[in-house]
Amino acid sequence: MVYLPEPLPEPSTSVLKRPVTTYSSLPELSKPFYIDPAQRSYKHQYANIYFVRLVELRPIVEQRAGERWSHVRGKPPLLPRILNLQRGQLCYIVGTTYMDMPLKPNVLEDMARDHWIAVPAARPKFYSAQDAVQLEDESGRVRLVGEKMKRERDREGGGLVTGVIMAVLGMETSSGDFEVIDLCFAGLPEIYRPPSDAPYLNGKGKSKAKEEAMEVDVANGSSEKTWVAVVSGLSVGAQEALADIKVQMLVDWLRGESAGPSDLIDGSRIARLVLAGNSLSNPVKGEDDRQIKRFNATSKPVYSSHPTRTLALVLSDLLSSSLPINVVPGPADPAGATLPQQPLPKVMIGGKREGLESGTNPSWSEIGGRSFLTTGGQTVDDIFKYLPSSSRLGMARRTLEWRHIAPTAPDTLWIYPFPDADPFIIQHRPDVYILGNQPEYETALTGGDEDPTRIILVPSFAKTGVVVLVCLETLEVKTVGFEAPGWKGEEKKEEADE
Amino acid sequence: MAPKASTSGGSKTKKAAGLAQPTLAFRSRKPSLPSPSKKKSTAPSRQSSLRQSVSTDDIRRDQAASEGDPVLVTSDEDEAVVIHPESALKAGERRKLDVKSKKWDTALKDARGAMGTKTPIHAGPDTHNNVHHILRVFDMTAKYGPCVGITRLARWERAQKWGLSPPDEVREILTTVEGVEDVTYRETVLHGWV
Repeated sequence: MVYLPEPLPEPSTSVLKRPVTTYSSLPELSKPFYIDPAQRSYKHQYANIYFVRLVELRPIVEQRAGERWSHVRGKPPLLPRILNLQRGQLCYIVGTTYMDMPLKPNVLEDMARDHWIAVPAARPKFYSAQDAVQLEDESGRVRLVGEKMKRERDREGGGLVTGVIMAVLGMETSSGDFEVIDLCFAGLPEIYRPPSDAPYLNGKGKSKAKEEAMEVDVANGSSEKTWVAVVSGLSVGAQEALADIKVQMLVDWLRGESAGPSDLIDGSRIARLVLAGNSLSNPVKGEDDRQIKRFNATSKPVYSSHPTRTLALVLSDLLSSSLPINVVPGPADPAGATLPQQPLPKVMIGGKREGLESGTNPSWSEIGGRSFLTTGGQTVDDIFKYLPSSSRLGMARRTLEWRHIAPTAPDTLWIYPFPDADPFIIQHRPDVYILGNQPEYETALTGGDEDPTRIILVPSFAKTGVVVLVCLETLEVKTVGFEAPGWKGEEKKEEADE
Repeated sequence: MAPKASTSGGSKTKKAAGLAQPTLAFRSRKPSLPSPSKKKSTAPSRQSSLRQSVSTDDIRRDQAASEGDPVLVTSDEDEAVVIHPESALKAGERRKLDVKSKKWDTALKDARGAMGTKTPIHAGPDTHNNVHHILRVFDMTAKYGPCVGITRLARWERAQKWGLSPPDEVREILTTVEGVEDVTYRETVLHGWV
């Protein structure tokens, strides 16, 4: 008798299909971030941006402050101008904060410094005990003092940066400063709800057959969740082989080609991939790559274009498995140094293809009925430098409370000098707020139980190998980690599960 | 009207070389009378909009003109003026600025009230008339936003967009012939200094 081994389990005959979701690039929210190259002008002054910010956020802050301090004994009035302050009168004023920090790099000090004094090492944080907070509006500025200011700064998840619009309640002291009793910001805005008659763009060329497939999918697995994968810091193009192996593993997993049916099922429920910044990185030049510089006509250019070619290959692999992709530029991407970074030209990442969307940084999009605000993370990185707290998640939550994505913008963060608008003001908050290129993965829900906003800090994939998955139905998050073992001879790493 | 292609080689080559004498554009329109013909003269300006700042004017004027004003008269004038060379700004299309007009009295009073008893620096009687004063105080009013690096009309339009309700007399001044062509009216007082 031939011993027949156990028959192999029959593979399920149903073909796993990727869920198809609606997608909209939310043009009315995204349009302010696009800078028309024909009308671009860098001659404008930054005062315009501060003025617009104050004009737009001041009514909101005034109303909120009025509600908050309406029952205060003495009925403090709102002063229309900061310079209308009178000594000893309890009142409240609204203005833009300015943090006077002596350790902040100052170009005038750099120029005045003597040549033979060495430049001090770059500090990770610029706050000090001598920081002063000032409140400013069109008429003038006043210095804010008091116990409340100290407590606000040292509070975990608190602190102030330049450019925040706030209201302060207090009175003027004999030295001309303003003693603060209480602070009030613009507060969390309402959640974004698209206008009911907005046409939902179903992505270019999605045929009827696919829509039916979606309905079939939903009917089959009504408990199936649809996930959106978020990756930051793909850093394709550095010549480190390890990073490319991780990228290949990620591509295989997303395409459903990795081993095991459980991986297949997970990978197939992903409806969209969002690359939140730093998809490219500088190629590492080896010693033998160095060429002698020749200045004649036959000298080839010294740059190497293989990062973009590699990224184009990766994206085409993913697109061929009908996974639509949103590419958002980050600090290391060749998309311009000033915020808002313009979209990477599609010709650079493989050409115009169905399913590939190239967005600005920051960018709004709507996936499956949920609004996403994706940024490359430079905004929170900058805020981190000027606050004593080390909780980046707290800072991300504060940006929603201040209703501004990048309050430090013209001061310490490079921004295009808009002549008549400030597009970083958050009128309505998104369902999912993604900040890429952070040191570690953190997430939180904010904004109440009814319409929460999920804040996600995504770490660099090249460093940590973490992919974040967001569920569209329930806003829950989970991560998948990829790790590749080191080469023989390098220190041995534990082989981790996928 | 574009010049027709002529078979006579001489004049064509002369024109091509730029040596032909320029033709005179006879301005047949008489200078417009105030008030009733002001609406007349604004409608043809719709047709020739040269500068970008002009086009927003014209749209606004269209709206103003269409709000229950005698439009029938203007539409006839429209058709008559549809085709004319873009290079000539007819004098009747923009109003002339009358510095001594009584229209600016309220604006002048407000401006003098805002300035107080102070006289502006570098403002002599031959370079600084009442209209200059109104415009200068408009520049320096912080309520309408920063004034550096932007023309006065663009600043007015921007303040209007932000809902700060800038005074209408200022816009009337800035959309006259002198308001567009004269640098001392068009640009802010800090132009050239900052």
